[in-house]
Amino acid sequence: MIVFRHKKTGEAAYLSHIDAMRVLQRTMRRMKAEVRYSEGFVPHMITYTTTPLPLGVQSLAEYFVADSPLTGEDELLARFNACAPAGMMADLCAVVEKNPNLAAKVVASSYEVTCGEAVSSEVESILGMEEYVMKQMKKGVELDVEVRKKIFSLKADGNRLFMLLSTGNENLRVDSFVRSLAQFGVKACANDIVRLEQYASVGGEFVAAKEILK
Amino acid sequence: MVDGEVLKKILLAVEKPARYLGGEFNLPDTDKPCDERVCLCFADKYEVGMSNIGLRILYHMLNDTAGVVCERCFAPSVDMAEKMRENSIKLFSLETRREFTDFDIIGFSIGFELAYTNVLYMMDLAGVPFYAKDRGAEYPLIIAGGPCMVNPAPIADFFDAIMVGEGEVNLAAFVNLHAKCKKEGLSKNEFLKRASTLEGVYVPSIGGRVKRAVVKDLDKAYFPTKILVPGCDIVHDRSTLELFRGCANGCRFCQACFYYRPIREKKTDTLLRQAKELIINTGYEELSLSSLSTSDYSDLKGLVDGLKEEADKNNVKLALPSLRLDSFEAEIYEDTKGASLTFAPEAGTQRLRDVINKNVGDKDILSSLTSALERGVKNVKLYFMIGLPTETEDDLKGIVDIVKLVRKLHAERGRSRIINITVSTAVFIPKPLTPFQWEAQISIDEMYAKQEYLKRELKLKNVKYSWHDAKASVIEAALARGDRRQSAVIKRAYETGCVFDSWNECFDYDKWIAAFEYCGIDPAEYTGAIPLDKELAWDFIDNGVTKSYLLRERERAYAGVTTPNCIGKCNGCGANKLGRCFE
Repeated sequence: MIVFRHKKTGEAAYLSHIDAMRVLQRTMRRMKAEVRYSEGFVPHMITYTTTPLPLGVQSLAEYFVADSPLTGEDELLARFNACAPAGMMADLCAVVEKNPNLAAKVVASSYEVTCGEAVSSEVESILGMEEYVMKQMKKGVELDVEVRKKIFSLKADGNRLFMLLSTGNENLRVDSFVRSLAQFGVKACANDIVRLEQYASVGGEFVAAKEILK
Repeated sequence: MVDGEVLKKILLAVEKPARYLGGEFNLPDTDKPCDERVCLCFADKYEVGMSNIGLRILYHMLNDTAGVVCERCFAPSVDMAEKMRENSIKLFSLETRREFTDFDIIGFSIGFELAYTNVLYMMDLAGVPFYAKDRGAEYPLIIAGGPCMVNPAPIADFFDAIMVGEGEVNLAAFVNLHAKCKKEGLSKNEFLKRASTLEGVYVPSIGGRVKRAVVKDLDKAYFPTKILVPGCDIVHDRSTLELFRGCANGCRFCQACFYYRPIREKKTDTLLRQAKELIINTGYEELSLSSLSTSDYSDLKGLVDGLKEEADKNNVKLALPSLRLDSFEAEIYEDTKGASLTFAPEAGTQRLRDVINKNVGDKDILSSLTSALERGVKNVKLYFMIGLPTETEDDLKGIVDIVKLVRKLHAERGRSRIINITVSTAVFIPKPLTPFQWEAQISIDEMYAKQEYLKRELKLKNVKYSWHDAKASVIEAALARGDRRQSAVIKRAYETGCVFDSWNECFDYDKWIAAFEYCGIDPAEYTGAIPLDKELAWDFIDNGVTKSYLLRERERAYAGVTTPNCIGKCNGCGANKLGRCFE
């Protein structure tokens, strides 16, 4: 198995999850990388990924896993980057024995939000609240949802905001959350957000996903 | 250049923002120093335009030309246009987000009459006047090309120049000449005068006759294999290999058949090399073959065998479209995985098929269907046309009979699996440069009556019937044989809200009719029969195929006499004088 940590920036941030998956699979094909295919009537490349990003949100740490027997991490990384579009290049390649199942293991993501103006530290008061209710669209209907337990950290720094939010099965949609912060004077939308890293929980601690590949 | 920050804000509010951003894999260097900056436009949405093989060829060809940078622009969806207007954003190119006025040349590729209003829609969003006469030196040169240039009369007034024929021949020369004239400080009119001497270039303000430009040796013609691979889904999201241009069959309603003549093939070795390069350069999981009649390719077996080997090695699916019934080669398609079969008999009876020169006999239909059903095909798609010249009730009944024949053949095989039959009918549209270019189109009431008859008769289990919009067919017919007076109609139609007319949900027949009325023009003038001795709006173009040949074919049609495929023996259509058929 090969794991790539790649970015999704610039134009690529506007690709849907399914489109991005296709781009990555075509990158593997251009690399002429040997990847296992399913054995059904219409064979498809066996690949895995983590929780999709909302449209417009950028990322420096997306994980893409391909079922391949290839080895040689440095060479694979160079080949991947020669064949990937500019907005989806990788900065890390790891060869692992079996599927690390990152989709199940990733429980949090860190984000940086660049706002139109300085962010008041008042926004950090959310961490002291018992409950935090925000609006979220679910199947075309806007609902009030309580998400306090999904917010692990929140820090204002000048016009930037750093956050660690729940990802995966207990996902907190980062764009909806940032929109809800308008009540604290935060002026930002999806394309002002960058996912910095994804984390797994190991012994109650958040560990960067790249670390659990070792 | 468009403000990236403003653009960023609106992108989240529109559907499929990736359409407006470019950033595809294999992008050429559009920041290189250049003498001439060209923007190729396609008057439809990104996913349609990016699937167009002509645009793909010309885009890469210009970018591979020294001193030239070529960018792209597509018609933004209505939601995007609204946001652009709200935020005072003018239409911009995908590569460097430049506005029209930052380019030397804007070139529209137009392949369909119902895209005419979209040209004005794009000009409007770009903030440029519609009529060439109203555009001074501050505006770029705006030119057009593509299959609709078989009769450019209705849109001629909107363009400074029109490229008639195949862009590979003269587009780069046209662009280079413009760069040279710019350096010499010549005016737009002086440049146009010089450009009008280039092969295939028609300058509406100058007029005169023009000969369609044709690639003499297709095998050696420019063909890009390092093509753009979009991130978002497009209509034909695959590599495409062009096998040949032109068609030897001569179906009398088919404009493409005559327009793309002379018939020129690429060699098998060339195609295999191009396929290999496409597969590795794009990473596409599908490779399709493009031509007007793939099964007429002289070495189809050799080509498909070679392609299959390369495709299998790379987990690429080989798609084989455009099959004619009479040359159906079961052995070739036997092991392709598609369990569906597409047939286009076009007419329901042998008599009418003889009239339109669809050289497919009842026997061919029977044997092809039998062979397909033997192989376990479970989906059969049948394409027909209604309203063809001389059509009678018997011909319509013939369509129903063919559908029933498929069901009978399937039932005789005692297969437990059901067979799905999809029947689709288009309305006959008399098009320029066909033997039926003088014919009348049937009235809307007749179209509805014929469609109703088929709806009723094809209400059979597992048979699905679909039909083309009658009203859109009328406007398409009126524009296809239109003249210079129609530019006012197109402008009026656009101004009253007609846009994306080729999309059923957007087409508004009443607005079009009102636009014709407003301009004092009766659309029936264009959809009715044209006297054989009347001068036609497109007579000033030498398309190769001669008028006398088309007239002869028309006579044979009415006599019910077929003209054989010209692969074995030349029928003397006249296209040979533009370039040799079958090099």
